[in-house]
Amino acid sequence: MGLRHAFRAALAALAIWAMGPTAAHAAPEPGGVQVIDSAEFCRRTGDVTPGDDCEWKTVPLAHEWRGERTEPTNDGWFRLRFHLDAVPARPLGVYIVGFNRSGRLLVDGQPLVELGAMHEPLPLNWNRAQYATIPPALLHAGDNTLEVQQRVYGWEAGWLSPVRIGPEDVLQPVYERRHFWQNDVVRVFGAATFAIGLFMLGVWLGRRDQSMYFWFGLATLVWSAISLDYFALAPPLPALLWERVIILLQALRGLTMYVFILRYAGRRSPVIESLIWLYFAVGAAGVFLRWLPGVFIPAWFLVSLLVSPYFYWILVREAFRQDVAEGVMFAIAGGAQIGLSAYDLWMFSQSGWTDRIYLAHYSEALYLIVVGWGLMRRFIDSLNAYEKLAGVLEQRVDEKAQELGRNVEALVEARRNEALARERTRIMSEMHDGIGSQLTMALSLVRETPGEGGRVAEVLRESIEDLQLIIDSLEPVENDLLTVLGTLRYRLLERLGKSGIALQWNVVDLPPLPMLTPQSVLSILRILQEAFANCIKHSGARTIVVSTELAGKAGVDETARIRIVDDGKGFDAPPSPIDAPATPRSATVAAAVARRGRGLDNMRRRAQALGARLDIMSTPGRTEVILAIPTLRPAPASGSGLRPDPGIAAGGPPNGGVRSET
Amino acid sequence: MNAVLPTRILVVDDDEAFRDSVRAAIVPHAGLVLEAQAGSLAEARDVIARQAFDVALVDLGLPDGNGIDLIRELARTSPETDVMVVTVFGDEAHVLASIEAGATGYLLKRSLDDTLAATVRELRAGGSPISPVIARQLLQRFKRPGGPADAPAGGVATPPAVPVDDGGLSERERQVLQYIAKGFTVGEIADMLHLSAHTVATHVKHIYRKLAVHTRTEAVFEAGRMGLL
Repeated sequence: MGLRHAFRAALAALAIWAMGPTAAHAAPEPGGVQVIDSAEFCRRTGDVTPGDDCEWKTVPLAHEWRGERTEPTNDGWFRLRFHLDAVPARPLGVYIVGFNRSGRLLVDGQPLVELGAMHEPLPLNWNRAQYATIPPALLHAGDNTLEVQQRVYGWEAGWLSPVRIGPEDVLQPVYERRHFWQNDVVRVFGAATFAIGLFMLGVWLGRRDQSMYFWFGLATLVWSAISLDYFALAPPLPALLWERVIILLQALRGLTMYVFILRYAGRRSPVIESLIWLYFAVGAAGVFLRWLPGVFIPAWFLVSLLVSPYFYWILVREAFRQDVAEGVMFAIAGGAQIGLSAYDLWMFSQSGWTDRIYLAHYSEALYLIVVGWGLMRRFIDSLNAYEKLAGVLEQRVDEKAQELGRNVEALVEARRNEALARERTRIMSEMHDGIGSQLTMALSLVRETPGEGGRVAEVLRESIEDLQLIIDSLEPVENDLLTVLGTLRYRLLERLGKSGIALQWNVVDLPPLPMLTPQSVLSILRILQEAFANCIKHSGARTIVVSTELAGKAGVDETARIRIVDDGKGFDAPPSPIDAPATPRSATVAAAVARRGRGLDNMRRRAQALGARLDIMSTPGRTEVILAIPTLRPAPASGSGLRPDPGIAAGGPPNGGVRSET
Repeated sequence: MNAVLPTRILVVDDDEAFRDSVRAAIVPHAGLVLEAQAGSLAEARDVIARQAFDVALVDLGLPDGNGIDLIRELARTSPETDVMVVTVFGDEAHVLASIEAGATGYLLKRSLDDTLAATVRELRAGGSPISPVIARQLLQRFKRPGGPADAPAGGVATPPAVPVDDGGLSERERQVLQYIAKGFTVGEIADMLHLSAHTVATHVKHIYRKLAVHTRTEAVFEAGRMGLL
């Protein structure tokens, strides 16, 4: 008994149970086509047409028959009669929807065509319609006979569907259409699924931990092997072995798909998978060892079919969890698979042959392609995610590298500052304990000495003051110009107090100035000291106002300005009558004026060396000295308030409070 | 305030001329008395062991050692004595080191005649002198970790040499230091903060004391970490 036959019987039983019995149909055919649905049949192996001595009997078509199981092959003969009113002008077509397995056609005793090899190995024709043309020369008006010789293996059944005879131009397109859908399309799908299967296995080879790719690849390859049975003329294995392998592959395809679904949904279960393989092993043993009764295989298949909805449910639910679009597509593909399988079951359950073709393997291919697409998309998504992650990582590494670079720079800077500070401390110590102490001592000695020590004391005092200025320029001011100004004020406080000049301190915060190195601080201190000295010594001012401001645009021409305004008599004031050139004092005055001129020149020169600008506007009653130092700050990011904080950092009151002071 | 008991002063300096000028500066002031003089570290220790002083004027460069050590000993043994370090330039390195050791004031050698008496009186009354640079350095020392004050521009802040937390520096004390660092005088700050000048000066002395305490704590911590304690 053919295994496939048993399988089909089982499916048919299931379909009948599901839908109830359906009547066979016999539709009228258009275009002068005769449908021959009965024939005389007798069984005799051999290429000679049996005569009347054979046991001819009339059978309805389709007819299914069996020979001797012990023989390698058996032949069956069908004799079909058809009536022609006249010999047609054009050849007639013969179209046979179902025919198993190989055979020949004869018209009125004349050989017409072989429908495949008549010797081992016989062709694989179970899913293939047959078509032949009868030349008019072989026909005659009245009754004609079409003889069909059929050859099958001893272990299988032969069958012949109703035969259609009619005009070539009507029947041939019908046959070709059927051949396209029944065989060619399956071939294309088989090739496509084969490619997908190989791809998936390749993915799995690269990612052994992702076993779902392996199982899906395997299921897909199993399917493409099965599809061979639908379109190949010659199976890749001996016929009987192929029959058995196909049975097992049909089961295996379902089982590998179940394993895939479990892993796809992250529900890998050793228990279920063990049961699956145990089930398969039992079936394989049943198929190859044939130690079980014939009903076993159908029962075995039914088990697999009955559990399949469970796995489809898991698959579709998981797909929906991942992505709605994917869920919809999986549900449609799975639904089509179930629906078309039901259709095929119904078709199997029909007793007669029709032009209809089996459809479940189309949905199977669709199903595999959709799921494969989903997997591929997932694979590509993870590739994209990886690339994105790699990009993010790269960016982070860059950031870290930059941060590291900054830290190293900061470290180098800190080291440098430390070395500078050490050296500074050393020089300070030298000056403090050495020359500074000596000068101080000399000054006090000179002061104690009566007589003409006044001039020497003056020089000593100036030396010490200059040394003080140098020391102050070395002090850490943290780039704050106000601290530089404040230091000068602190040093001058006593002299200002003695001279009775009031000082107004109208400063506002300034941005940090990186250019405040000891060298530039010394220059600034000297310029400002000269300005103060002029006020104190020569101007006769009562009030000095010191203010700071920020002018210009950051990134362009921004400057930090120090403004010193006094209410003294000014540089250009004409000498008073008692200072007239004629008097003896005039030389002293001229010398003082000349000295002051030199002082102003010095101030300008120093400012120029700093890259700063010095403006002096002097009128009697108001002298204004402005030192404008470029901040060299980059342009601010828009919106950030970079104007100097009018108050003191960390919440001090605004400097307006100072301005109002006198 | 010191009408009843005169302020007893000790001067420690190897320069005799300087000691003489200190005497000369003190003599006109009734409330001040030069109680003792020392020309070396050894002499000074001798004198301190025998006698108590209200104010000690200490030079750092002594022939037999560093005045810092003497300041530290004085701060430990007689905390009621105000120590003033005598410097030529009042530079931050010398002054801060002295304050860390326990000094609460400093004096410029060359302006002794004019400022000695006033500075000593102010110190006894609880106020300490301070320069803008020293104020700025103190802000650095007491820098709030990640705090906005005095953060250098340009992002990555290099930690100060001695990174400490606020160490109990009050907001008012911080404000005073910020104003001084910008060149404002004690009088101006007093007006802006609606305080008396004396109170502002007292804040400075408190800050000095905190720095000394902080430095000691840190030394103990360091010693403990090195296994010395």
